[in-house]
Parts: sequence; C-alpha cells; structure tokens
Amino acid sequence: MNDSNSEMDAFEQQLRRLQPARPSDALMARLENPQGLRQARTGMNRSALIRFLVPGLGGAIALLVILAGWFVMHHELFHVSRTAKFLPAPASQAPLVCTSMTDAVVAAHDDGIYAGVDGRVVQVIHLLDINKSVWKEPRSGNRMEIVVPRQQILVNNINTY
Amino acid sequence: MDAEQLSLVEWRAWLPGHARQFLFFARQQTRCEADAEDVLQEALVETWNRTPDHAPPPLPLVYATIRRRAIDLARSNERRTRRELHDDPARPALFEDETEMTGMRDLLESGLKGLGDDQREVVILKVWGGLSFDEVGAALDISPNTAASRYRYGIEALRKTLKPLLV
Repeated sequence: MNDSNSEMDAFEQQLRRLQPARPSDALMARLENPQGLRQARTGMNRSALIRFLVPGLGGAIALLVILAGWFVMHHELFHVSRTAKFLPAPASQAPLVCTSMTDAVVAAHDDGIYAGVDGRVVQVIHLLDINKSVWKEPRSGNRMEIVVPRQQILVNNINTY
Repeated sequence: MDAEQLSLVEWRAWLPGHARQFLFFARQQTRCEADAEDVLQEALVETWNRTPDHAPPPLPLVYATIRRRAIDLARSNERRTRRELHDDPARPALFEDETEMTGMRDLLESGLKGLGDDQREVVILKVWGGLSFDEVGAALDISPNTAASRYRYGIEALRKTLKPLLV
C-alpha cells in the first residue's frame, strides 16, 4: 500500500513538471484590468437584461392584446356596432299607396232551400271570393300584394204562391 | 487608496499564481478557446463580486463557478449534450511547450482526452489545481471519498498511457 502511494506521489510529481499553458497577454489584461472586469460585468448584465427583458416584453404585449380584445368585446361602443348588424333594417315610415284592389268570386256553392220558422222560404248560397290589393311604397318603388280569401253567404228569399 | 483600489491590487497579486490553472480547467469544460476565456472571465467576475470586500476568492469556489458557467453556456448554446475535449482543432496546446518534455506532453494530452469527464476534472483539480480531496469535493459537489476514488482510477489510466516514457 505504501509502495503504491509513493509510486502515485512520484507519478504526480512527474505530471506536475508539465505546467498548464499560460493565458495569453490579452486574456491576462482582461482578467487583471478593472475595466475589463467592469466590461465583463456590463456584458453579463446586458445578457441578463436581454434574457429577462425579451420574455417580459413579449408577455406585456400579449397582455395588451388580451386587454384590447376584452375591451372590444365588452365596451358599449363596440358592443352596439357589433350587434347592430344582426338587427333587421329599420322599417320605413313613409305611407303606402294602394294602387289596385280587385275582388273576384272564384267559387259558389248552393246550400239548398230552407224554410224559416216565420214561414219564409230562403235559398242559401255560399260564395268564395278572393280580395287582392297591391300597395306601393312611393320612395323606393317596392310593391306589396295582399291576397285575402273571403267567404260570403247569400240568403235569397223565394216567393211562394 | 480606497478599499476598491486596495482590493484590485490584492487581486492582481493573487491572479497570476492561479490564472493558468483556472484556464486549464476552463478549457476542459468548454468546447473552444473563446468559450474557455469567456467562461473564465465571467466566473472570476462573479466570484470577485460575491466575495466580501472583493478579497481573492477561495479556489474551490472559483473552480465550481467555472464549471457551472461552462455548463450554463453549453445549455444556452445547445452546442452539445455532453462535454467533449478538444473539439476545436485550432485550440492551443494545454501545456507549456518545453522541448525536452514534448513527448510526455503529447501523451499526457492524449491520456487526459481519453479519461471520462468525471475522472479528468478530479485529476486536473488535484494535480494542477493543487486542491485537497475535500476542496475537490466542494468544487465538484461530490464527497471527498468519491473524489479520491475517481482520482485513483484517473491516475492509473494516465500511468498506463505514459508508461512508455516512465523510468
């Protein structure tokens, strides 16, 4: 064991005879010169600044975008303009003008002859007619046609002799 | 002379005795010479600032800071997943050029290159850094026994490499 240790010590001594290479004069000047130290410190601070400033700035921009989005979504001004497009167009206040109106009988049905309690005799006829009217908005010229089916009952007295 | 000037005088007196060992260690931890010099400078600035009154810092603290800075640099640059030795072909020699020891120098550089990272850093700190096993353990964040064990294996491997030159 002692031999082994002494051999190791001797070997170490041989290794130590080889000196590590000396730093260059430029590097020694950097390490010895207080300005070099300060420059390095400044450089280190700058890199640290960049390391933390860039993500910080990115986070701030993302926050601003989120806030702007929230503002657009919830602010009254933007709310009105955003929802207005979903509302129907305001109705025109101008009066409509009736340009034509027709009433035509399209069907008639004889319901038969009935005797009333007072002794009268009547014939009952069902009439089906179509009432059609056309309305026009003078300013825009838009036309609107209204078709209404109607039913009438005609009661005709029948003379008896 | 104010306190800062006094500390700088002390710093300049202390630095030349250790600069080559620091650089040697930094070279083992980095991939190219420029990285080694930058890491060394940043580590010295950091330890100088962290030491009260800017007194010369303890050696294990300097070596630990060099190592941590080198690892941080490697991670930030994503240049490599593990530390490798002598990737830069234009890298200057690790040892002083002494003509009568040129053969040993070349073999030793080759032998160091062949060691594992764990063994190499322990051997360098012990042999050329002049640290005790306790200090090596403190610098590398390992126990003194682990440091001693790695050292023994590393020295043995180097001895085999240098055997042709040993008397």
